[in-house]
Amino acid sequence: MYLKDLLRKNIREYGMFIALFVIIVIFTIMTKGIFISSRNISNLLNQTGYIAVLAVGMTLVIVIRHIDLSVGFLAGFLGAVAAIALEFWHLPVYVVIPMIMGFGILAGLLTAYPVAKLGIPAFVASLAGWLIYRGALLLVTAGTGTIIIQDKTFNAIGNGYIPDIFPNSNFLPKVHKLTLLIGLVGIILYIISAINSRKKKQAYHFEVLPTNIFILQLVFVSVLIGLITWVLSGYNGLSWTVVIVLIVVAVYHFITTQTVLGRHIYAIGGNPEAAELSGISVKNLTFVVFGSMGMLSALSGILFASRLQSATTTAGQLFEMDAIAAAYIGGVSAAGGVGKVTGSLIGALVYMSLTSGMNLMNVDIAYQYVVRGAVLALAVIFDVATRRSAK
Amino acid sequence: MELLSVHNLAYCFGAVPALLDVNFAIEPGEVIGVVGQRGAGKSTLFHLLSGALSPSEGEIKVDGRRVTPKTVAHAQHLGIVAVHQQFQLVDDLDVLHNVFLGRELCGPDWFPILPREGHMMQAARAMLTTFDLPLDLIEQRAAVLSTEQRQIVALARAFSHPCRLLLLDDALAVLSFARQQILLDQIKDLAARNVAIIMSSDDLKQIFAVTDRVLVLYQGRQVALRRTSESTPREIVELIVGSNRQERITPVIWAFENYYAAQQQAEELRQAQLELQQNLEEQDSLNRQLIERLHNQVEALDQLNLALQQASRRLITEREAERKALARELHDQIIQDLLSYNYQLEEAEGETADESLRQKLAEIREGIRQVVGSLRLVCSDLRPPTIDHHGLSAAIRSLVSQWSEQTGIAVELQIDPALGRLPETIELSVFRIIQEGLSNVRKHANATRVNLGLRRTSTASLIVDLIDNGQGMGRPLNLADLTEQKHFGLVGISERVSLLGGTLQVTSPPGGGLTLQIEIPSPYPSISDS
Repeated sequence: MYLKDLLRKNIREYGMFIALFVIIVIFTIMTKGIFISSRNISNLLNQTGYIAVLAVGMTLVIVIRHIDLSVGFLAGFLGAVAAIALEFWHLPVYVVIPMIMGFGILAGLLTAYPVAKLGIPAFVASLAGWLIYRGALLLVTAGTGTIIIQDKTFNAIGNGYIPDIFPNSNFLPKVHKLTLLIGLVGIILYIISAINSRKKKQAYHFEVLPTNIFILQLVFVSVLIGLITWVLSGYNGLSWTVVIVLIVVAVYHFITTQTVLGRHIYAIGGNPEAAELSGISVKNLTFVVFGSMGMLSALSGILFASRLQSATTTAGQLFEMDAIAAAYIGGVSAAGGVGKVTGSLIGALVYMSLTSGMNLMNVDIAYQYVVRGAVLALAVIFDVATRRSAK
Repeated sequence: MELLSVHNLAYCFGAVPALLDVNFAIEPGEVIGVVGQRGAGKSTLFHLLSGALSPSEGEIKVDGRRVTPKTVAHAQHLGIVAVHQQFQLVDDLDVLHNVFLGRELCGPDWFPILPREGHMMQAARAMLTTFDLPLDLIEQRAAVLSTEQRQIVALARAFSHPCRLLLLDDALAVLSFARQQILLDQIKDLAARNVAIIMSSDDLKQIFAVTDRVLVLYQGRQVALRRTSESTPREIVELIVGSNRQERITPVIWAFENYYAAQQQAEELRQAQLELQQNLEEQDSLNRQLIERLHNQVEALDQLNLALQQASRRLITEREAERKALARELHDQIIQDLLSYNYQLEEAEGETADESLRQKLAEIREGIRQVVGSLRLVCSDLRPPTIDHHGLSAAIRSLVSQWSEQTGIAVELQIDPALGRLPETIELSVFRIIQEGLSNVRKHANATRVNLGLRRTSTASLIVDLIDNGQGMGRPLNLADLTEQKHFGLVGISERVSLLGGTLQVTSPPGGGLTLQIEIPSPYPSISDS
């Protein structure tokens, strides 16, 4: 297998990386380097957080050929509930967060019920949820308007950074050393796990990448991780938001690629009837997927409320559309059965980079929507075209 | 102890009953065949038994307990596994993961959520080997498989785990004949290991080959459940068709019997085709070898021909040179000698007074003059003296007037004034050709008039026309015949023409006469003749 064949075979996967790279280069040039500055990148990642979390959940929903429109206002509503619980009920943050996540799961199961049990299209069922949660958000904030959150721990989730080791040592001053260390550990873990899984595949005579391309891939990803952590360590280091997003992506990546559950989810997306006849319970997995979506909505709501340090009446507006767009840009197929969690993360980054870059350039908001729409359309057209040529 | 029993089972699509009042029981190791026409409810029965559909009425008991399976997973848990006709594979997954779809081999034991790829790989390999499929299919996506391969993957999924009741819904139809036999053997093997099997098939031969009992459905109702050994295909067909009228039964039986025969024949045909293809390939390679050899021989022949042409060209050139030398010898030596003898004789004649001796000497001198005259003729024949000095047209004029005088045949000569000089070989050859042609006319044509023309064409070729009004040729021209009859005239002409790379056209119109047209390409093709 040659590099060219490999590229053509995986063009859909590499396409987003190329898109992200191009966008970063363009904005870096147009903003004379401000875009790539540590401060802006750190900000960008924190902004991406709540959309990325939603996009991860949305990936699974779209993979099983459904859609969930309710997640935006669900996130806003649950964020408001969190604010109320903290400010009015005076519950400790360690109780509030699991509780809100639990509410999220419940809400997701509620959306899944008409879809799985009654066969109602997810679009309709979640549109109902969209209206209901919007109303609910207005209802709970009706008396108070915007609720300011005072809790420092809660607000740190969206605004804080991980502490540094030896903050006052002379070794590498002004650089966040724990971030660098984590990046280094990440690179080492990545290399070890990649080599292990390759060895395992070879032992079972699966097809693997040729050695030189495998090494190229290792080097590329290692350099990428190294660069990102280096840039981040130049500002305040890793934010808690980024840590949470990374954990969510890692867990979901593991579930979708390594476990039977993930494989069944993709099988349902590929051919629901065949999956059903082979003994996979499509209903149960629909509940699982929507439940996880609800839980991630709750997490997204927490991240957003924490970032604004308040719950507003319009929180969560259009989040669902951003998440869906991020998933599609990230290579999730509208036809179901295809799409990666990591892809959606990249999709969210692409989407938020566009917003951030255009904001830096003072582009009019009207044009921003047009550009974002065009990128989404291009991504879907690219997906359909490469999919057709792959068959 | 019966493994599974069905009581008053019914299923309705809306208000339309698809299956009504089905009752039977199956024991471990028993094989039941389900037959019926299209739409008789066979697939519905399989869907109900496998948990894909829930019955509208009636119940299913497993091991004597009422446990109507509600989902496929439930049925699988009870040991009931089905191969359905539709929706078998997920196209985006590869063969390996399709085989184990829904029932992956998992680890670790305390929390089985991680698939054990290696175990599954080995099991899938063994399965594909059983059904004689290429092993590299394992990593192919299901989308690229043929219908038969998809069916085998679906069967492999059913065989991948031990089960107690196997449901095969028309699983044999799309398989090749050889693989059908493999599957029938597998069915017998499973039955021997106490697995109960319910299978449907449109092929009664298969049903009678492996089943213990036959369940006949007719328009959604169970019309019979017979022991296979106590029944006949004819009886079953009557039940399937729902009539015992001869004209309805016969075509169906005929069709069933022919179906089997046709399948067997198709298999034989396939083998024959394969063999034929191989033979054809061999033949093809043989042909190609032969063609190559032929080609080589033709090439060799071509080279030989070329060499031969060169040799004969050299031969002619040398002959001409020799003739020239001979003519010069005769002219410069012998004739001069003879003339000097003649002078000596004349002197001797003047010196002697003897009248009779003078008379004799005069006669000798007259003889010598005649010899010299004939030698001169020979010389000019060997080498036309005019050609070297005055060119082709002068030589031909002289030849023609001489010939006309000798034979008394009138010759109309037309020579292109712009003929010019040509290379020596061409001039000589043309001269010889005309010489030979005229001599042919004299010998064979019995003509009274001859037209001779020489002209240049616009492409600077030389064209010679020799037309006589003689008797012509009786039959078509054949140079080989002429050679055998030792008539070398035309043969010689054609050889000379071909050595010059020209063409010879001989036409003999029915009214008599003969036309020779000779075209000799320009030796200086690039120079225009103006």
